[in-house]
Amino acid sequence: MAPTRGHTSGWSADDALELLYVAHWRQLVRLAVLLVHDVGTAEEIVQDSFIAVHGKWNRLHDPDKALAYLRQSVVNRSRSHLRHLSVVRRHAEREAPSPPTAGADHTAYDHARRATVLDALRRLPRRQREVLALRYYLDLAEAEIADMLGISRGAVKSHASRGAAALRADLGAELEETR
Amino acid sequence: MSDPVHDDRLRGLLSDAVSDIEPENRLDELRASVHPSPRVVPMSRPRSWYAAAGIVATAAVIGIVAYLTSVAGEKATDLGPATDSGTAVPSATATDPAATQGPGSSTRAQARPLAVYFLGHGPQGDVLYRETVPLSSGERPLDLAVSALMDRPTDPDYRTGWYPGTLVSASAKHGVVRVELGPIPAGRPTSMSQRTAYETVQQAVYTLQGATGRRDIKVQFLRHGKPAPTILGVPTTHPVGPGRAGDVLSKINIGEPLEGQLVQAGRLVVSGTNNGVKGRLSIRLVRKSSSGENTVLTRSGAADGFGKRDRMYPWRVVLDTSDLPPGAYTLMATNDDPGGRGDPATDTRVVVLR
Repeated sequence: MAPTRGHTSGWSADDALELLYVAHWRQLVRLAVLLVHDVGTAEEIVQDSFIAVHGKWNRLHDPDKALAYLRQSVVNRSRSHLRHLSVVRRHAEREAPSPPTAGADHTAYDHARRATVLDALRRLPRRQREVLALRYYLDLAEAEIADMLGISRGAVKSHASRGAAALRADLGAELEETR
Repeated sequence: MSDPVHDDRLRGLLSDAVSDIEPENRLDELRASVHPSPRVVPMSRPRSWYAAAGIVATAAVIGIVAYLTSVAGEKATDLGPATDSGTAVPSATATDPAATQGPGSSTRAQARPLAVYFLGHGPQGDVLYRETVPLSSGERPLDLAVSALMDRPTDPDYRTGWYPGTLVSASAKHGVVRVELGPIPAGRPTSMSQRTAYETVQQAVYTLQGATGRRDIKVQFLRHGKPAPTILGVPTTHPVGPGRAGDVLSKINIGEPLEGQLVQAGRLVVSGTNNGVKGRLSIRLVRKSSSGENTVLTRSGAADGFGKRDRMYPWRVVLDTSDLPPGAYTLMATNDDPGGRGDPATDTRVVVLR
């Protein structure tokens, strides 16, 4: 992944905001989609995280710290969103699973495969989903994930192992069907 | 987390699951949020901006860069045609590392680049665009080609037709690249055009042939060790060769700079390939602002040749960016359209001036 190592030192909060935005906006929204399964909500969460990092730039003043803060903020805000809207979410799941919409040029099998992966991820327990997204989408190390989530490295391993097994079982079956 | 094969597969699946999500550009809102009083608010929504401009009818979604530093750090010293198929680029394009190199790029500067082709939109439908990935010493080009085909392109305007797991392995023997397939449909999905199906197969053929460095080699697709009769409805019983470059490839392709690359203000070298009327093209550097897009630089250029449908010709244009403020810009390379047919081939890159 791509921390903007060393590039923004000495930049103002506004400059840092733009550079961090250019570098990480899309990836962070995609991370949030993996966590909350909705593009609009993901954009709101990441936007709020950017505003927060702008407000704390004088304290952070380091691109690596800022990126870590952004990621943690996205994970925490995603968790908070799901927690506070759990009732609404259950209703929404009954009403419309609504995976992220694909462009008109995307093929049916592309769309189905991606929706299947997102659905499988959504069915996981929240902690497993967070660990898998951080581990396999952001490529973070166990220690970084442990720091970010406030759990032990052993817990990270455990969540990753169980989540990966469940995800592989789900997705393996789906992929066989497309053969 | 212990099985590297499964880890890689999960990594690919999760990345692919959100690869088609292009979030709205909210930089305007962000700036308004952190500065409630009126102030300069550059940049607007890239999708609608392009659509309104009608510049690239189907192609242009300006993506915002996710891998900024890795791009600048790992791929900045590109590039040239690498181990290309030979059907596309006849000679190396010049580069100017001083103008385009990002910090830290020297660590991968010696890596040999491998050409990888991806699907993207062109006036005639899907076409192939070329990117490069660094080949490490000791790494088999065909192994890298297989993994790169199933990975995300750097440019968010492009995409791959080979999702994770659809290619298992590749090896070359007796003038044929033998590719073992994973689960990819034999028939063409109803929503997929014949052209997209054909270009998907050609994506693999061009990339794998390029990895061998041989122009005469073809690709035999296999399922469980036996020739696959079809892939996405495209006949593949017999070894498949590359289609004509003029039909399969985009008629213009920016090779350098790469998507999201950090570039020093001053001298920006833009290079690539095209196949256009007399080889002519124009380069525009566009800055988005609250009032819309603003073309801050325009330059004309011409390729080293033109005329043959089977070839792409290298071009190189140098822009003087010394007077431009730092920030994100969009580079647009467009073939000339003297006949006024109105839909010339275009390729775009987002770059960040420092």
